[in-house]
Amino acid sequence: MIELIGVNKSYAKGSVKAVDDATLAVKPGEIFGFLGPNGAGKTTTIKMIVGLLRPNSGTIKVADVDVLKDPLEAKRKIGFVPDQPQVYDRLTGIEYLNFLADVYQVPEKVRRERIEHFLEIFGIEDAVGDLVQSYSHGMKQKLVLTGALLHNPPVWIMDEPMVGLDPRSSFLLKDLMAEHCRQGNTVFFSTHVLDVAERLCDRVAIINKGKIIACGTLDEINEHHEKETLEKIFLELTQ
Amino acid sequence: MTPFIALLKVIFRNYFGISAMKQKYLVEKKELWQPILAVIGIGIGFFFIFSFAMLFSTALYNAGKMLGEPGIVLVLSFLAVAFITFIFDIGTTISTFYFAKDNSLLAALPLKPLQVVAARFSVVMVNQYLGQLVSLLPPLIVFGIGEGLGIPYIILAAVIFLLFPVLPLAPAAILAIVMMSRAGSKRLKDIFTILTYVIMIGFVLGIQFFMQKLPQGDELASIESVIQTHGALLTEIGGSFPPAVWAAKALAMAGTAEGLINLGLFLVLTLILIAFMLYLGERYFYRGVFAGEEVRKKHRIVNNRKGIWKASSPFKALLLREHRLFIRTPVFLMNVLPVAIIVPLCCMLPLIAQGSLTEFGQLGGSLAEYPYLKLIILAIMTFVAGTLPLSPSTLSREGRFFSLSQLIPVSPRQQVKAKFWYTLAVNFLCTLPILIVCAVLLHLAWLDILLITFLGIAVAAVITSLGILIDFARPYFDWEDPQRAVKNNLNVLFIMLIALIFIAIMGAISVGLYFIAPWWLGYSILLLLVSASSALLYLWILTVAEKKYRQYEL
Repeated sequence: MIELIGVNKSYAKGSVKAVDDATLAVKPGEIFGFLGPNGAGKTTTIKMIVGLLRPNSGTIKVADVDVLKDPLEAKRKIGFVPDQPQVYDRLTGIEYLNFLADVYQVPEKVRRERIEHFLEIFGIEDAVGDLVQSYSHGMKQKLVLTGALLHNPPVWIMDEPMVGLDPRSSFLLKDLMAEHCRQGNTVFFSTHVLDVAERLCDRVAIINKGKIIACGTLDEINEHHEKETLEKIFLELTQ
Repeated sequence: MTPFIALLKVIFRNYFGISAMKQKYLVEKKELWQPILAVIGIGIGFFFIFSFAMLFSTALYNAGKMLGEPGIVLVLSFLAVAFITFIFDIGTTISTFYFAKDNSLLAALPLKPLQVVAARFSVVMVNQYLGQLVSLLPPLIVFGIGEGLGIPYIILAAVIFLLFPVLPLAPAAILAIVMMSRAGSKRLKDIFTILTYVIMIGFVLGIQFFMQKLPQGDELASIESVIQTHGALLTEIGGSFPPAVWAAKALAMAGTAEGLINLGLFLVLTLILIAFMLYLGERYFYRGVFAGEEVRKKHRIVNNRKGIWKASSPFKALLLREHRLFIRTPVFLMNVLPVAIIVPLCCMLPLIAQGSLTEFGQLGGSLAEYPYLKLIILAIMTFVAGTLPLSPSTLSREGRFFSLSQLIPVSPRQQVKAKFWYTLAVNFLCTLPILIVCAVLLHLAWLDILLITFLGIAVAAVITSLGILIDFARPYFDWEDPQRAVKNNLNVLFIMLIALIFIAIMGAISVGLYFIAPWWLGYSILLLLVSASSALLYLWILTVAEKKYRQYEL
């Protein structure tokens, strides 16, 4: 579902390597955790997958669509939740969602069902008539999540999706992620909460200083490092 | 480093994008042509405006000298700068104080509100110094040279130059703090902002109307008559705004007891205003900043509203987004609409004040003999379109939300198409009042109106495309306060200069056509030329859109 082959990204005329020869593949039906310390290259990698940044070299495919060759088709396959909930402050929640539904060409009946469904799940159905500027951080995050999922994309890409969510919404989101993957779709998300990754993910990758230093199921990673918890493996690999 | 100095440094770095520029141009050495072009553009613009201001100040100084009052140049300059600053920078003050996105960050720091107010006020002051370089510096230079004054004058002039913006800006800040402290919600904050602009427009038009009521004719004779009738001109003007006279007398009578008293009065007032602003800031600043931040429990439920789920095409959705973001951001809206209202009203008010509407109507009759002269209307429309900050901020206005545009599955070509048509519509609508005023006052024939309308649309399309191209070349996404995206964006200056060049080229072509072609043919050729230019430019922006959207990495 997601494939990165030899992806590189550097800044400052090549002097700073943000992502160094990243190669990984995420299969259908998988929840994939992307871990790494701050500044390791997680967000840069995610931004390249969703088409916000252009890699210097390498290939990225989402649902068999080359992100660089056919960016629009790739975007249709993706539901993206960024690390900061960026929503137009001067639109109401429903205007924002309708805008997304229009650009993703979601039919009226379907959009209504899906929007109502997600708004109810996240408990913001009564707030969508208000301007987004009056929303709390968590409410914005819930709105972004609703917007990202309303066109029913096969691939969910989420950068720290639990940040700002209350425990109930966080629990429900994890449920949604699991359900999405049970239907043969894919969830790729970054997180700092290793417990969540340990419990939720089928496989994880750890990135440090731009390089993917470990990738596999927890058992596979454990075989190489002989530590009991993901936290200990993470600390050893990224120190 | 004291906390306040640290705050000042960070606010300046952030506001003027100093760190970002250093990183881009000095460390990464990317797009070095941008600062070079900006320096050349600003240099040329500054040279022309400064030269004109020097000439004007010299003429005013000479006129005052002939009347035995050379200080007139200073008084009038101080007066003009104070009023213009108060009127036009009240919006900047509100925006810098209350719409900066880093306010919540600063509120969490162990800083007093008055320190934040002082730092924000310093930013507004520095912006004002840049304007004063062409408005206040020339009269100070002219007066100093003319009177043969030395080093003490220069020192005193520098002090007054640096402190003078306090006189108009501190009251503007006080007004902003008081008004915003009363705003209980973000929507009310927006309404207050718009209200401030409306008051500003009323004020400008009132002054315009009042000025036109003054006796007309030879300006020198007019000034002379004021002196003979009312005594000294300085005192006369002093009645309306004494601080301008204090500053002027402090400079003109430097070294005398009267000069010292006036300097004292000027300094005391400045200090009182600053102290009052800081006092109010300490008490009420954050009340205004956080008005409406609290999330209300009671929300409107929209599900039953008719049409709420109605689907649109992506193009229509993009148009609607442009429209909503534009009209719901007061700073954007009020940097555009006043131009459309003020310019035609400023054209009409002198005529109404002087009762010359009928005479002006007769001018329309004589235009039948010189149809090419009607193109002056088009030139004014082009100028108005060039002063609107909409097209050169097409992408910039999205700010950090631009990444949303990069994420949606709509081609950049389609997105730019929506931006172009929306901007063209607003640009043209803003120039339309001029055409309507001229059509009514000059009794233009329907054919003339139709031709100028077509030409006006084509010209607005050219300006829109050129503005978008400028924004493509130097977009500004990293702003904290929306005022930076429009008013304080150099792109706006560039499109204005380009519009002036365009007017000059069109003027030259029209003069050429006047000699070789009958008016109907000349108009047709012009229409063809402008339409072809607008079509080519339109295709150009659509072609480069794809590349540009991919190029921006936020």
